[in-house]
Amino acid sequence: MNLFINLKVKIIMLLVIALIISFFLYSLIIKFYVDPYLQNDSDLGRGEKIFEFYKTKNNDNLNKIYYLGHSSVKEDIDAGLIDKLNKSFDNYNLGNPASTPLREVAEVDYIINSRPKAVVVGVSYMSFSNNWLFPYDQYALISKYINLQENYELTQIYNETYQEFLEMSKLKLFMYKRKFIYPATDSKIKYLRYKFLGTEKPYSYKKYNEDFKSESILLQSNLSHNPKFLEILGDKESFHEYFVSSETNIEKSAFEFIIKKLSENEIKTIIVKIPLNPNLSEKILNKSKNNFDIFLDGISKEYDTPILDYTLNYSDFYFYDGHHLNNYGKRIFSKDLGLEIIKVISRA
Amino acid sequence: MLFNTIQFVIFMILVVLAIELFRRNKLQLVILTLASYIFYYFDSGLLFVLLLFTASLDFFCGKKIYESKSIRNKKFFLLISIIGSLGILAFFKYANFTIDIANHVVSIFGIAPPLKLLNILLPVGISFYTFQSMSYTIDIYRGNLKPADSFLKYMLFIAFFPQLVAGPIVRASNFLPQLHNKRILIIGKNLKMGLTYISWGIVKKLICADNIAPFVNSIFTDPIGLSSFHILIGALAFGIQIYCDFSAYTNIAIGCARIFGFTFLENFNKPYFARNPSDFWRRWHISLSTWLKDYLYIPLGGSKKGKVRTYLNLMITMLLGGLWHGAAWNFVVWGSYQGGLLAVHKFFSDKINFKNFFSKFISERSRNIFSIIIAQYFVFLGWLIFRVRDSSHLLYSIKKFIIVDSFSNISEIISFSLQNKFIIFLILLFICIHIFSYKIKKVIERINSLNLKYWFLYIIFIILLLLVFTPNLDTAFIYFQF
Repeated sequence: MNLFINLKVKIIMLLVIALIISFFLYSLIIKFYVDPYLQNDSDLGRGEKIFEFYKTKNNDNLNKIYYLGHSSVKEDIDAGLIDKLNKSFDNYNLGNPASTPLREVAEVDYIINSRPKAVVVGVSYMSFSNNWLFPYDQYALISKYINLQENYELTQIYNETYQEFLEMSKLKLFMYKRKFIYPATDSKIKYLRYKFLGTEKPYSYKKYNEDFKSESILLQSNLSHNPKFLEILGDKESFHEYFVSSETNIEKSAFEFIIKKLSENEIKTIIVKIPLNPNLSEKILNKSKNNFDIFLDGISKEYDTPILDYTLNYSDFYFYDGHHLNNYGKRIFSKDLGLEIIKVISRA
Repeated sequence: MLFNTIQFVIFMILVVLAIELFRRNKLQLVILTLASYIFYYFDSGLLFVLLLFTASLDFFCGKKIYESKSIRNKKFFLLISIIGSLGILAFFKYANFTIDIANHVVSIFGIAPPLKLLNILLPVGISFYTFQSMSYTIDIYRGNLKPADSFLKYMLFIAFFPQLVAGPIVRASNFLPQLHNKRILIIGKNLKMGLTYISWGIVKKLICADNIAPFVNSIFTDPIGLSSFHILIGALAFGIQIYCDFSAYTNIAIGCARIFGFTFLENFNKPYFARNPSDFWRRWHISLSTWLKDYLYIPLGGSKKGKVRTYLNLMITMLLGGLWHGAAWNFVVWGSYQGGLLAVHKFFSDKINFKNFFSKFISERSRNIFSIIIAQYFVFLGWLIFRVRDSSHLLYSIKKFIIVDSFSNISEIISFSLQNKFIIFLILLFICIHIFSYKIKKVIERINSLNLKYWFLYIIFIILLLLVFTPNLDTAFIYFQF
């Protein structure tokens, strides 16, 4: 009997020790393998960096202008170039790939606390489409910056699914991060292939994630077109991710919430319709375009927010693909936009 | 309460502690029974009353059958038991299916569907505990079993939580003797064996089945337009998913029971090494297939009433076996398909001695490999029927599975494989482990027999695997729905 009891106690003790050792090893994997991947080898790290940025800007009393929006904002606007147009303003490109107003809502309190002079919100058809989903992972990764229980207004915007990600506890996020072990490994393999087989060098997102001026991904080439773009455009039959319905949806509500909250806090807001490749524009339904314009006009009137429309200002020569400008386009658009924004702010 | 949740781990620890606390006390059985009904209440709410009803009815009938002197009375109580148990199962599981069929039939004659579907929930595990309970009264009727000593023991037999919701279907003749004159002692040897079983099961479920599930869903949600390569790999992946999912549940059930000192029979025996359809059913869901054989196929006459009747009995048995899985047409077709396979195999094996026939041309080893490949081709074709519910999707998938289209677009296959590297890796890993466990018999027992320090390293490895590779989405066990 004694032998059995001893064995039982031993097994329980070993089980507990095994659990502790395994969790310790797992935490090493997350700390030294996954976190560096998120920060340096994936654009997922940018979401977190944006929140860190806001914290550094609290009460610095500078005339800051923030540019929010998805990858078109991030890729197409050179905040450094706009800085040079008028030295009295400090411009920051806070665009985030694939972002939508619903994601940007999470930043509103941080924006207000850092007191910018103006916030420029870049939008395109995708911003209000029901068919464009910003990855849930990004909501999970910024959960440590959001406290939904203390922010009743945000709970009105985010449905249960989003709340589940945004309310993730530190322990849950720690466990959640295991899903990035596989992409981190993939990224390491790409790096090893580059190192030993001489394949294309993988892009490092470290600078991109931390830069709020003009750093772009490889998209910003001098090419007038991504060689595959027209081919993809020609083959594509459904443009459902660009469809904006006349009905209200979670993205529209989020957008209105952003404009309303910033206006209430006396922060100037400017809506910018981001440039779109005319070849792509042709394929988008007129109904969708009308619904998009009607919605934005309504917001503009309601909150006295100007709209700067650049949708069809540039020929396809200036585009890399459907909605990302190339280097020429980026320079011209940034200059045009910068001058116009300075005018708008000066008038205000 | 899923086995793969923290709630279950806490529940299990509490039950183990309670059993340990009352180590020398008769309350142990009460605790285990109460825990089982609480466990069931978590999943089914007030529907646990049905479980109580079935247990009470069959305990009463079992006693009466045993005590009755005349065959007529014995038959009467057996009939009550069967009607009671099957009646509940039929109502909760098949009522809406029957109404649906009736409405369809009536609509053929241009009459508006007269019956509305009932708003009923399917009690979790009803198919499992109904069969378990029925076998008890039938065994007593046949004189193979004595009734349980007490209602408490019978209640525990029906509802013992490790196997309650997804089997294995335990026989009273196997379980009740384990309760005789026994205190439940949690001893180190059983604890180690139980944890080894549980660890093996959890790895199969969380790492293999749950990671493969989204891949299978992506293929079969809308397979129209996919090539044969996609359908074949989808069927292969689903076969692995369902095996890892279901056998994992069994492993965990066996492991949990073993911790309390109970031994359940194995429910799977390397099914993907079956050499023919009969062999497959001797290896897959053994507790169900033996149940069907003992309580349906043999009473129907088995193979004793001529060839045609044998084939018919096989068809009926498997058709009902298919329906046992669920009230849906694909299970009817799947059951019939399995019955058909068994009948065809029986027909040919009666006519031709395959062993002698092929030994003229090929070696025994090659013959075995060839038989396994052929048998598994039909098994995995059957999985398509099991998995794909939409008839047009199913027909398309079967067509692509049977008439393999061109594999000329190698670059597409390579790019698909590269996109799904992890899944392809899991599939290959499963095949390697399946072969390994076929060659090295009794893998779990071998792991269990490791010296404590190596077993400790094994447990660290398993926990680390689980921490790293478990997908973030919780997925229920497939057989929970049955």
